[in-house]
Amino acid sequence: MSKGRVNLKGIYKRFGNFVALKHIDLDIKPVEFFALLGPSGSGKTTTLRMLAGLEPPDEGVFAVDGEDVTYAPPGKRDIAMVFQNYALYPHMTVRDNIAFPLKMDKVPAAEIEPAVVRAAERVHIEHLLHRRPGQLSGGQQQRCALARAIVRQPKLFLLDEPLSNLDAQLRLQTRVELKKLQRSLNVTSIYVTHDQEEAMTLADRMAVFLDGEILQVGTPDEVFNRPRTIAVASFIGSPPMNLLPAKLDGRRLVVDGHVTELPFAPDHPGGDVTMGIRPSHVRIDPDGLPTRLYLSENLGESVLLNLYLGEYLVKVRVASFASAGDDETVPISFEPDAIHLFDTTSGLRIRTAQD
Amino acid sequence: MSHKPNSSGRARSGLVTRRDILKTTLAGATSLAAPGLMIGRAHAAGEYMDLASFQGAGINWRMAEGEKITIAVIPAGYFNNLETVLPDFVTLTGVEARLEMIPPGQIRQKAVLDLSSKTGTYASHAADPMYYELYVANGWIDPLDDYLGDDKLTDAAWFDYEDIQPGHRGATSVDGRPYGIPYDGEATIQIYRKDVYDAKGIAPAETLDEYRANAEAVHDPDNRLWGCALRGFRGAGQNMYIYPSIFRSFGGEWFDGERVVVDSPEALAALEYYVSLLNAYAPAGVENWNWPDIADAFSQGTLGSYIDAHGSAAVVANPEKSKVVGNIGFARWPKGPSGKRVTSIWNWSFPINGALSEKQKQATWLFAQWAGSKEVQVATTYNYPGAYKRTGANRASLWKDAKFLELMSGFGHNYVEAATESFANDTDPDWRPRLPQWPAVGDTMATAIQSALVGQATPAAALKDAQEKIDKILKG
Amino acid sequence: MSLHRRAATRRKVVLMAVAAALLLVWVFPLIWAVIVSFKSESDVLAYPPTVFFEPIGRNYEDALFGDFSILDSLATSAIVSVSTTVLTIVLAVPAAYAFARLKLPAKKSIGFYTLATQMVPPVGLVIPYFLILNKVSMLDTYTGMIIVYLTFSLPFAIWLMVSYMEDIPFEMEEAAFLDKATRWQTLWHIIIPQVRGGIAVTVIFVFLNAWNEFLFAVQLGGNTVRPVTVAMYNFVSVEQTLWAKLSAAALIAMLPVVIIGIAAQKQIVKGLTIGAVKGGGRR
Repeated sequence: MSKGRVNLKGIYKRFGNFVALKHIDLDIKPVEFFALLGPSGSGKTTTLRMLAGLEPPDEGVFAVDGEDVTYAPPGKRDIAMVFQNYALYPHMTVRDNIAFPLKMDKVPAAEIEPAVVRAAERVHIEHLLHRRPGQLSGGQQQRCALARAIVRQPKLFLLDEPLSNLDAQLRLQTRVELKKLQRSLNVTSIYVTHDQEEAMTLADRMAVFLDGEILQVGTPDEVFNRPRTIAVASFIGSPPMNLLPAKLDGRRLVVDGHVTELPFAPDHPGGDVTMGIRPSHVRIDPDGLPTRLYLSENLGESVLLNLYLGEYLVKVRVASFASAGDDETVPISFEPDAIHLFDTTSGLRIRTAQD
Repeated sequence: MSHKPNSSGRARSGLVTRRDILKTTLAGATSLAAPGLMIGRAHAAGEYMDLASFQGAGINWRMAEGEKITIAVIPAGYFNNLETVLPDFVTLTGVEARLEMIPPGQIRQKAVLDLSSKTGTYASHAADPMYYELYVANGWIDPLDDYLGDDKLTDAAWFDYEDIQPGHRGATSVDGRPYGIPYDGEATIQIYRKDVYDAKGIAPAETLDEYRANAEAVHDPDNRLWGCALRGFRGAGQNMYIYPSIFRSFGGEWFDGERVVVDSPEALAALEYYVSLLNAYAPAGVENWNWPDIADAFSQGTLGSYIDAHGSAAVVANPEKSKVVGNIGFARWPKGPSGKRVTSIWNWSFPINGALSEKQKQATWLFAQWAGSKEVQVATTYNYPGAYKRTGANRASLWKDAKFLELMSGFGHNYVEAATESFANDTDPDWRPRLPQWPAVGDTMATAIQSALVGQATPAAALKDAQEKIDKILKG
Repeated sequence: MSLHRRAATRRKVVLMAVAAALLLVWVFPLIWAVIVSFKSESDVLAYPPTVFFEPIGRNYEDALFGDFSILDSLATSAIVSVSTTVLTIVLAVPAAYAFARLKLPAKKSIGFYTLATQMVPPVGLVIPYFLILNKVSMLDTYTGMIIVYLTFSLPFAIWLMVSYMEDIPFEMEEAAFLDKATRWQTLWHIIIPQVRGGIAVTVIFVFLNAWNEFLFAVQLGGNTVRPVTVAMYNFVSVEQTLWAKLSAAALIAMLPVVIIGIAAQKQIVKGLTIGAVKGGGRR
């Protein structure tokens, strides 16, 4: 099945003086589960609404399967969408909500009911068809919205933070079901979220948005393990990686006087760089850099230490930690293999052995 | 708004409207004077009158055949009667005339709107005599001497304009030229409880002082009998209906040259009389009473006397509503300090809208002439087949007609004499100040009189204030 | 605790008493009219008021079929009021939708105009309307009267409906658009069902205003268009007021309003509560 290829080229969107999207290019492959990840105001939702036809771009081209639909009205795009607040029709039963797109699409009446039941079954709400949205729980409403989106076979399936209104436990459970549902649907799906964990677990690929620009497009693995810029690095990961100023001299990386010998030769002339290291790749090392313990947080499976290296906060994840009290001195060192390097001036990643 | 009394006690279904003509019959009505008669559809020519008596006039009644005219009137028994006999006019002239009933509070405004915009919607309307100055100043209506004097349009001998009550003719003329044909009018008279007066050994008042003394003599509020009542409600046609008579009988003059004077010593004396009389002997709340409230109170036996239009006799002498039938006496207005008795010259008359075509004007003139004629007056009074007989006949000759007088004498002691003498002697064309700005002047005076009555202002202060306002109105 | 409850009970009793007193003041004229409508004219004026009397249906008979039958006028009132109401709703609903949703260039000034028409005292408009209707020969015509009523009811209805429509989240329509509904289909299937309560309220207000209107009816109407408010004056002649028949006629004229009120009550309650359910029908 090769339907549902999405191309965005040079998209700009302005709201008055505010530039919401700055030159967005995207290629989304058929059947891909693609996440748009970014903090609020980064442009991800605007991009989604543009795909839906609810917010035309000021510049650029949007094509589905090679067909330019940049300015096509929403109804002509054959797109289904799940809204953040579901946008269920409160005066209709669940059955009528799910049937509505089919009715509007002039599907013969005889075909509607079986299709509605099938869609409801896929999201396990077939027993709620006679209810109205007001009589459903949040999770059931969400499923109803999903059923309404999948009842016909759209070219594109858009989801705007569909899990954000659910409580934490339900969110984890629904996440799994959503992933399975998407796989079985065989429809290109574009998913907006500010929750990187959701993006990482659900998406085949993702685009990281910040200030109206795409910083990086890649698989979750690529984005997590090879962040393209300092900005991505500082956003991805929970908590994100530590970023510290360092001096590079060949393979010698000096952080606050402490030397780490790199196991690879960076593609960089040397000098001031930014070193990135994830909290779990920092070790407590008696020979390491002395830091001052600010706070230790027990996360159950691990302990997260907040340490001050001079003025820089360093987060360190360790399996266990016996604290002697705040302000204790904790010496640390970095796993050389796990070090990321960024050009301080351009913010771009410096190629390393892992790449 | 001049609420003009003139009804015979309107017995239930004792009224005849245009709907009767179209629809139903008048059944089993009882009245003070005659049992109800059956009225069927208007199918025959001259159903109510002998058309020959009209055709005897030396004019061509069919000169405006085919014209359509609408005449605005108010809901009132005397116009209902006219509407009932209107088919005879249609038969006689071939003019399609119809009456439109407009609530009394709106008819003046609607007429002014129609006249001022030259719409010609209403060929004629039931006109308030106090509005003629305004109409004439604007040239909205035609002077009727042209019509009266044209022997193609009017047979002077047959119509006999001079027979119409002089007070009414005067009230519908401006600077000596007639502008409206009076249809129904009234005189103001004393109405008193003869049984009560007789028991006290007092006679109806000859003077205003006696009127006060009589009120005091019978005043017994503990037994629900109050001395007297006069219209107290604010309005050009309410308290400014009764006050002008008092004012004039105190010797008051409305005009000092061009200027309208309302705060003269005579005015002050008149207002003080009115205020002190009502405060002493009238029931509480009289400041909100218009004439029907007074007549209702009298008919329930709670008033010793009142002064109002002669037509109100029909209500207080209606056995269906009144408990004092047989105990009612009538007398002329008491004399004021000037020695004058002053009755209102209130009447409803028909002018001709100046915005009409010549043919329509002819049709309208035929209507006005017809409605004011002796024949129609008879047909709508004592010859009227329904229960309600008009009392406001416009013609002096009718007030000498035995059949009419027989009907009128049924209302009570001395009724015919009081009314006839009032019409003959007590009418005063300058009863109220005649000027185009009357609507505003009348309202200003009405407000002043009521504020004095309820004690918001002394009579002197109220009149001084009214004088200032009126000066402004007339200057503007 | 029990002291607290007793105080609360006492407060409730006082509140109920006040409410009952207010209700009585409000409802007294109505009760009076009902009683009077079954009395004979002479009983109406009797003092002390007759408490026991033989009720008669004669006044109703007279009001409907007597000399001053208000039947024709009731029909006139019905034609004018129903036409005005239907036209108002048909025009105001799409217009209000446009106001609530579309980016109209003159939206603000149109909105102000809409409110401004409600601020002009009607008396000031009688004469202009009279002159205009006269020019186009529409005095005393149903068309003319309905158009005049529309000039009042339409801005008011739009203004009222806009507030109901603005309560509906944008997403609801966007969802409908994505579900391939056109604008009209969205209005019909999604918006209108959700503002049913608002429509019911509007219907009541517009119908009531048209049904009870007097000033324009008396000035711009005539023998052809003579609604019941004007015809009722036949019982208030200059000579006397026929209280019993007037009350009967007034109560008859009230009937359609009461019926519509009851019929629409359910919708109104819905209309008053639906505004509280924002955000896609979560409750």
